[in-house]
Amino acid sequence: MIEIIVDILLLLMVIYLVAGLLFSMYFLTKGASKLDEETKGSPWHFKLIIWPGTVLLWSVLLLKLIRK
Amino acid sequence: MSAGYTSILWNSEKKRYDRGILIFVVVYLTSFYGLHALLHPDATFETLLIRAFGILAFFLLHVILVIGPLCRLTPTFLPLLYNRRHLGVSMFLIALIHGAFSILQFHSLGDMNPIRSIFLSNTEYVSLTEFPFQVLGFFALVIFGLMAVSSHDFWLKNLGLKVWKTLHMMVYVAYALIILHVVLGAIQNEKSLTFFLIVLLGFVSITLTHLIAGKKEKKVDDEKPIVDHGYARVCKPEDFEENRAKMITCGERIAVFKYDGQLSAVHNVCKHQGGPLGEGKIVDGCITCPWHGYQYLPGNGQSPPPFNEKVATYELKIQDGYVWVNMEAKPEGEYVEPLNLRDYE
Repeated sequence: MIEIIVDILLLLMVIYLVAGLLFSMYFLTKGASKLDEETKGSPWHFKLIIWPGTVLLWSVLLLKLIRK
Repeated sequence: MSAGYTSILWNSEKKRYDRGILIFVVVYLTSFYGLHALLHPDATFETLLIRAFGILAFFLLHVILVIGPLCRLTPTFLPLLYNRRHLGVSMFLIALIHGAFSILQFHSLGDMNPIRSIFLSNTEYVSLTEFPFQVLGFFALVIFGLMAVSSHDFWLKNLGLKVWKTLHMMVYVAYALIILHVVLGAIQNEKSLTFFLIVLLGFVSITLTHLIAGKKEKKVDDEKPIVDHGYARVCKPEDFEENRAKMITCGERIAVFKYDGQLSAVHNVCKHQGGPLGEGKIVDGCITCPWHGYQYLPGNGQSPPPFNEKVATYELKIQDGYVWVNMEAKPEGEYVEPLNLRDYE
C-alpha cells in the first residue's frame, strides 16, 4: 500500500516538474513581462535566478497570468 | 526597491554580510574536519561531509529563526536581519549538500530509484525508534527550497505579500520537521545525552525569544492612546529623538519621525516585507526601514526616484503641549506639510 502511494506521489511530482519546465520556457521569454512590466529588459542573470522558482511555482504564476 | 530587476542587489554592507557568512562557513568546516580527523580518524570523507553540513545547516536555521524576535527586543541585532535572505539561501544550499550526499551515500547504491528509496527503504512509519527520519528531512528541504527560490523581490511583488509571507512562514513547519528529523535520527545512532540537550537548548531558545517578543508587541498594541476629535495623542515634542520615531497604535500603527526640527507621520509598515518603519531612522533625509533598508521621504511617504513604493501619510498638530496625529490616513504617497516644531518654541 505504501509503495502505491509513494509511486503515485512521485509520478505526480515528476508531472508537476515537467510541466514547470515547459512553463518556465514560455514564462522567461514572454510571460514574465506580461505579468510584471519591470522585467522588460532585465539581464539574463535575473532570469537565471528566477528560473528555479518558475519551475516550482509555475501553477501560481499561471493563475496570476490568467487573472491578468 | 523596485525600479527594474537585477539578479542580486549588493551594496557594501550586504557584501560585508556575505563575506561574514563565507568566512564563518570556511572556519567552521576547517575546524570540524580538523577535530574529526583527530577524534574519529576512521570516519569516511562522505560521513564527515554529511555530518558537517547537517550540523551547520541546523545551527544556521536557529540563527535565522532567532534573528527576527531578537530584533523586536533590541535594535542591536538589526545588522544581522539586514541581509537575512542571503543567510537563508546559504542555509538551504548547505542543507542541500547534506541531503544530496545523504541520498548518494544511503539511497543510490541499490537498484531502487534514490528518491523512491527515501520513502521505501525503511517503512517503519509507526515505530518511534526506527522511524524513517530521512523522509522528514526531505520534506523540510523541499520547504527550504521553495523559500530559497522565491526569496528574490520579484516573487514578493508577483506572488503578493500575503502568499509570499504564508510561503515563508512555512519555515516553522520545516523547523518542526527538522527537529523531528534530528531527534528521531539521533535516537538510532547517538548515545550521548549532550547531543539531545543541545537540541533542546536550541528549541527552548527559539520558543522563548518568540514568546517574549510577541508579548512585547502585544503590550505596544494594547496601549490605547488618548483620542480627541479624530486625533490621537502621541507624546510631548521634547520626547522625540532626532532622526527617530515614536510609534502609536490606533487601529493601524503610525510612526511619527522627528528630523531637521520638524515632524512627519507615516504608516508604520514597509511595503517590502512589512518591516516596522518606526524602528528605523532617518538616513540621508529618508525614513529607512530597519529590515532591508527600503527608504521613504517623510513628507510624502514615497520612495525617492526612481523607486516607486509608497506608504500612507498622516496630518499632525500640536495641542496643549502634545503632538497629535490624525488617525485618518491620507492616500499613499500624498504630501503632508511637516509640522515645524520651531513654530511652537
